[in-house]
Amino acid sequence: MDILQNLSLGFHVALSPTSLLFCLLGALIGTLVGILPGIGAVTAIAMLLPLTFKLTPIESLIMLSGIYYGAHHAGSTTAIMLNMPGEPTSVVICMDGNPMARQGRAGPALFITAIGSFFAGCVATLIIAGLSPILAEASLAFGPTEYAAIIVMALVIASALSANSMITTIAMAMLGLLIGVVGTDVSTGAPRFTFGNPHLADGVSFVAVAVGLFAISEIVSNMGLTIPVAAIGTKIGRLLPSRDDLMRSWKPILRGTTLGAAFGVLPGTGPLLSSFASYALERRLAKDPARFGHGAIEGVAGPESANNAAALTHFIPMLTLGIPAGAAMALLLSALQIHGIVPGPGVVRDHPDLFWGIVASMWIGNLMLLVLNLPMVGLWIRLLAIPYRLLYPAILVFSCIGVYSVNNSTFDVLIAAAFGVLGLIFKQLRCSPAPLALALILEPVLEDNFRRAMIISHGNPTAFVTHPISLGILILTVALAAFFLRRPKPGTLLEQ
Amino acid sequence: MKDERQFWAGMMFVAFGVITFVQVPHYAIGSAMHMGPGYFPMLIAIALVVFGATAALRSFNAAAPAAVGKWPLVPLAFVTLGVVAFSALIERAGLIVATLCLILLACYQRVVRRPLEVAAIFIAVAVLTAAVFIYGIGLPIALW
Repeated sequence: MDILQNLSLGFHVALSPTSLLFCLLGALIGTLVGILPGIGAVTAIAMLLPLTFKLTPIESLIMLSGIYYGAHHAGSTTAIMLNMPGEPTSVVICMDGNPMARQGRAGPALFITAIGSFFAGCVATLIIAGLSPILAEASLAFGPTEYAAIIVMALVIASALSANSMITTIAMAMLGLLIGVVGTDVSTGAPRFTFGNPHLADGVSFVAVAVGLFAISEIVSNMGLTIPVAAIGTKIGRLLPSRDDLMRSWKPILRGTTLGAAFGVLPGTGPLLSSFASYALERRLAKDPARFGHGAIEGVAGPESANNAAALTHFIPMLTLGIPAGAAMALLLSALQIHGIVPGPGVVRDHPDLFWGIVASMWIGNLMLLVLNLPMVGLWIRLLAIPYRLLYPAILVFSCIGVYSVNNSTFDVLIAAAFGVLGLIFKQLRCSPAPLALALILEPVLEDNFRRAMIISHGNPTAFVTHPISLGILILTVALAAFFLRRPKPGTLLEQ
Repeated sequence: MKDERQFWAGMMFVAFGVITFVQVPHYAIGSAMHMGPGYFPMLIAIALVVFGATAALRSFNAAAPAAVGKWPLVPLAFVTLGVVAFSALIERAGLIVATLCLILLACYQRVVRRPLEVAAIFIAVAVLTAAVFIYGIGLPIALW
């Protein structure tokens, strides 16, 4: 009954006219950026961060989450229609979604992704509602040792999942920790690595780093290329799937949702893992695996459901433990911090209206996406005719304003420029920037808990393996990392 | 070396680690039980050197040779310069001038060839940002 009461509180918050407005706005903007290539969810959230300063924390988080899952959802539309993943997470959808479109079955493919996403969204919302309070309660039993262990788990898993070599990815996470060290030491108040610069006393701005790594360096590397403007020839055709399509799809949708929800709860995994795992699973279970890659609807239904389920259940570690799943989510976390809310076990207890309001708005947002995407898909596709060269100057200006306005600091804009250069170096050397971003935002929590754990254990590092919960987390980390490392990586599968 | 990208990535991590390590003595290290501000950075610096060196060494045994791609230095220079100019101008000259400079530099390839297109982008972006950020939500940024 508790959940029902809480959900009704949530819907009370989420159904207020302003919440609905910002939910719609977020879903719309998310769909827009998900479809336009070259703007990812990270860039979009950074660009629109200033818009949220005047909003209440609830409204701003509702809008930013809308951008987040809207982008995830819409990325598959361009994947199907144009074989172009609008978001990195929708690469898997290209493999069978685009062949379907070329066979004139774009309509059913889009319909199935919309239904699959919506179903996964509903289930994931229920899981968040049911699981988060329990997890928040359980995490109160977490001491500093356990907390430090679970952050290590998030960083290791994020590194194991990267398409690049694990060792360089772990090193990227270390680099993120190093950047996180800059600023005033929380325990002693001593300035660290600030080089006497007062602008660095509060640390390096996460928004500036994210814009540099994900927006500026992306623009620089895209400018040289001529991004093909989509040929908008593909007919959508009949929208409704045939009976056969539905029969083939419902099981993959169920399995994908389960898989995505399970992976989504684990800190450090991204939605790409879930959609990839679902695709692999469907291909293995299929009676005729040869159909995959040639327009098998199972290869669209499963991964898309998994993707959306994971994108939503990622909110569980983020809201209850303060551990984001990827760079876009880390930016959501820093948006919360700008509003003075520290994500963690306290959010569910101290801000029930915020927590349950967001859970309810996610469900409403998914409903809106269903309504937005299906009838308007032709309109959305037409946006792809906008050439990139007209878009990127606007992205740059908006990103710079976003970075500047967080602290009204011109220095932060310089930081963004510097990380633009670094981001390009990382790209050239095939180093994934996402673990760096994750580590940067988690560094203060990790260091604080690590130091406190060491005080409790009198400086004995074996405490991490003698505390049962911490030991369990570390064993799970090693097991999952070993498991993921032995599988073909999402990136390598696509290169085949 | 077979995988040049991994080799140079490794060297980059080693360099960051070494730079950090020589800075660490400026801070109190303390003990494992009572860590000073320098303890955690010291651990990270060591880890960076170890991981970086391992990555560099393993690049010699890479499965397939890989070279570092061509560097887009010209776009990088112009975009970076544009962002730096934006930072220098936003408080001194206001949003419009800062936006103009950023867009001119970011569109360096077509400022001369397609001046009308660049002007159209500038006007659209300037009107939109002024309307949304200054009149809409009242960010404390001067237009001029």
